[in-house]
Amino acid sequence: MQAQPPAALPIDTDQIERELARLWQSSPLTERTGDLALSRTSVLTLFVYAPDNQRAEWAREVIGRLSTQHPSRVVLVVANRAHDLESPTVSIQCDLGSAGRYAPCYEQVTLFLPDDGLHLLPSLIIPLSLPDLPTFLWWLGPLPCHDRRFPPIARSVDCLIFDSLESLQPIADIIATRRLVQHVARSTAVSDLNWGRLGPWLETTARLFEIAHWRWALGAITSVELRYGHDATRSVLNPTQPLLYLGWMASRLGWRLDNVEALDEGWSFVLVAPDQRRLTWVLRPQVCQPAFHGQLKHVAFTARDERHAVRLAIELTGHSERQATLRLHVEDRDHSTIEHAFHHHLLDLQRLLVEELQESAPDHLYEQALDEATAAAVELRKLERQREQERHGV
Amino acid sequence: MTVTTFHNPLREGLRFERLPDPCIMVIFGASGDLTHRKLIPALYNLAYDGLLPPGFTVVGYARRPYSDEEFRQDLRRAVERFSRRQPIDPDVWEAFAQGLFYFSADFQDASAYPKLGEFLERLDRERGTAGNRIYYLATPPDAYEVITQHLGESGLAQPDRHESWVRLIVEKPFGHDLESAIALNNHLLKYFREEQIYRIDHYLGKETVQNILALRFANGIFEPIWNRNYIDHVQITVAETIGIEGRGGYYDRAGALRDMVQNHMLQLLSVIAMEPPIAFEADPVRDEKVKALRAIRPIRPEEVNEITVRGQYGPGFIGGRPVPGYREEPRVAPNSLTETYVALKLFIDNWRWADVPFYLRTGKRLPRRVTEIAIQFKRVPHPLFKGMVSTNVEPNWLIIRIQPDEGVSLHIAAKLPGPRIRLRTVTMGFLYGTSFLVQSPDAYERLLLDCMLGDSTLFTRRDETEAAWVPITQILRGWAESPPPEFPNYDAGTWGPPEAELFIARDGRRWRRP
Repeated sequence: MQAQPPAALPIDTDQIERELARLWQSSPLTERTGDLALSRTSVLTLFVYAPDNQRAEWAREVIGRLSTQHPSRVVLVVANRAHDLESPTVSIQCDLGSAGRYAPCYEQVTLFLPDDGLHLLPSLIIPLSLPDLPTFLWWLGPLPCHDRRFPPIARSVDCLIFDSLESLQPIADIIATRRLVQHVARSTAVSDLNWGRLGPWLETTARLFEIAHWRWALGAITSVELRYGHDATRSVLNPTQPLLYLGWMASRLGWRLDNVEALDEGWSFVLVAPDQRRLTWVLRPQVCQPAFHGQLKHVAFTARDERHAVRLAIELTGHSERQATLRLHVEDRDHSTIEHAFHHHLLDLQRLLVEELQESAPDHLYEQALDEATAAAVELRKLERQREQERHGV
Repeated sequence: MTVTTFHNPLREGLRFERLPDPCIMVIFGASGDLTHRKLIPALYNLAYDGLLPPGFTVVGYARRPYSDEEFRQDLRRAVERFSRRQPIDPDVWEAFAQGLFYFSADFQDASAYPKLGEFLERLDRERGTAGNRIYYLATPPDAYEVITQHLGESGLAQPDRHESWVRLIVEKPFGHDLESAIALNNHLLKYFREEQIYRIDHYLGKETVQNILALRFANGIFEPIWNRNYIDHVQITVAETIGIEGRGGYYDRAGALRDMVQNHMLQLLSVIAMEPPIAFEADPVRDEKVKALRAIRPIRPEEVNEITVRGQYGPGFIGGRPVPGYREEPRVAPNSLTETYVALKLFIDNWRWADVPFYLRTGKRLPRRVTEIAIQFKRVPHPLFKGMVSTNVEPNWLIIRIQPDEGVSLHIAAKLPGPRIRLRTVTMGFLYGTSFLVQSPDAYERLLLDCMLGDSTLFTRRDETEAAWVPITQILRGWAESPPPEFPNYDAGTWGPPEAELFIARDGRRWRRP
């Protein structure tokens, strides 16, 4: 059978640059209109890959909102299954309604890519990146981390941003993501928005054990219970967030995974602390609204030693469309209680993205948590295979 | 001063490498304007962002007989009105409000302080604050001495256990001249150690002021030309469109020199003029600022009128609205001789800045609200392009804008496109608001958090405060010996008295029009 020649693209990146230059020249960049001047500052180049038109529309909306915070060039690459691809579009977007005397502007380029044209992406990314500035690729949809064409794409940018909440086979993808992270480590930092959502949970957990009354508890945890959201309309659970959380604590505290068991609902993990103490982690799904699918909802630690016993809990409450609140409860033998709440932007994708765009260096905390989450995912996959085999009577 | 010894492995690598220890902030003057407008909204915003420790507690200390619940309701209204974050998040507020308590007593009443101590100990037990305290003096300055004396005498000024800490925040004005500042320092140091005292100047909490240090010391291109060989002069402008906003009683005794120049403007001058510190830590940074302040050329009384211009606004128009003159403002004497505008010229006598004038001006009811530092570089030694300019080609300026439109711009000469050599001044600008993807915190948020963390880099040290009073006191003495000025001498809505233009023009220079 004769191999199909790889798809080619009639895109002239030089022409795109010339068109952008022409647009800037024709704009009143240096002239003030009334009390307003257009402002161009170069900070980064953001490539956005949308696997379909629906996600592309959604990405445009997010990018539009980002314009007030000005990534200096955005290139939206839309995968298109149609054979006749549209021509690239080039524009300069300015936010005239923002406060102050200067309107921030950014360049937006939209390119259309045939769905079999993934291998062409590096040849577009490199010439369209602004020189000497960090280049980010935000990948919408499931990350094709099993696709051998993907590592060269990841290597063509400084930072790859994806969202493991989008994963269709979360356990397998945790393992593949770790492989990808190791594969591109020299050139590219990999960021998971889902890890970003965990940030406030990590912060709250850390501060829980900084309260003088309960510092002892960090070395005396006996069990941890995690609940994460499951949208009943979806067939696949996504435990990536709780596994990364478990991975983070294990990597910070030197806990080693010893055993995994399937429960009627969820899993039970046994971990061993450096002092040979055994702790149990239970991960359970909890039915939730679609927006909270895969999100941590509740973490509770039980700690006990000869003199004390305490239950420390963090839960997600009062969530609105784009924001939620983390609330911390402490109950000990003396019945003293502290409540502590602060804002959490886990549903605000724009905020998460902005935080990711501020950092193009590798996040070693994430990488270490991913290592431990991968160890757990490997065990879970073994359990899944065992179940499959039992089901098929092997 | 850092006393925390607990090592939390979960903290490593997180966004906030350090969070404050749980603590109680006792605000003296809790029913006052500063508490409502600035402190509580700033603390609420820190709570909203998750920057306050669990168990963080505020005790409001004032005379008014409030219950805890009334105090909370009052503060909620303040946050609804003055917080930069609206609307209030009910969950965050509810948790924050659980840590708000009220203690009703007179500052003068010595017997109230032991009771305050018992109250704080009870809160320590209930909220895990472990004896950590911040006392915030948000009162009129005449109450500072009595409050600190009672705190000291009742044993509340020092920590009562090994790992805890006690800090004191003192608001400006810090004295009204050099002698009173020294006396106040001596008084505070009877009860608190210097490292416990945080003298606040909110200008230092502004992002752009801190960016001056980054601009100077994180970029290789500026420091080599940051000296008398390349810089012609420096202008520091703090222009306000507002009047005295109900502060007539205070302002009429203070005036622009004490209210603005002694603290905010000399702080700006010191970060522009200081030598590179050996580390970005509290004492190395403040050591260099103090050296710069101490190098300000002494001012003889007889030269004060040559190096300063005083002004007071009369009626005029701001933004098309008529506004009254200063003497018509409430609680201002009808024949007041208080200056609402001051321009002055200072020299810093050291190797870096010898003979480079620093022009400072500040005023109320000026036509535009702007704070900026403008550095004019020397002209090129040989005018190669003479006669080829399309408009006046200015010497290079570096403008550091503190507010509004925070950022940095550089004015350079460029050739106009075309076959002929024609030059024009163009601006290369960097604006915070359009370059970085986050909103800057309010200065009080930054400073309150720094104090909780024990980082005093952005607070003024005793020697710094006193060094800043030296030239100011010399000017005040010179003015006292001069005939009274003919006030008012500028209309509201103008750039100050005409004498200010002549003052700088005598040196062959002119004020920038920001």
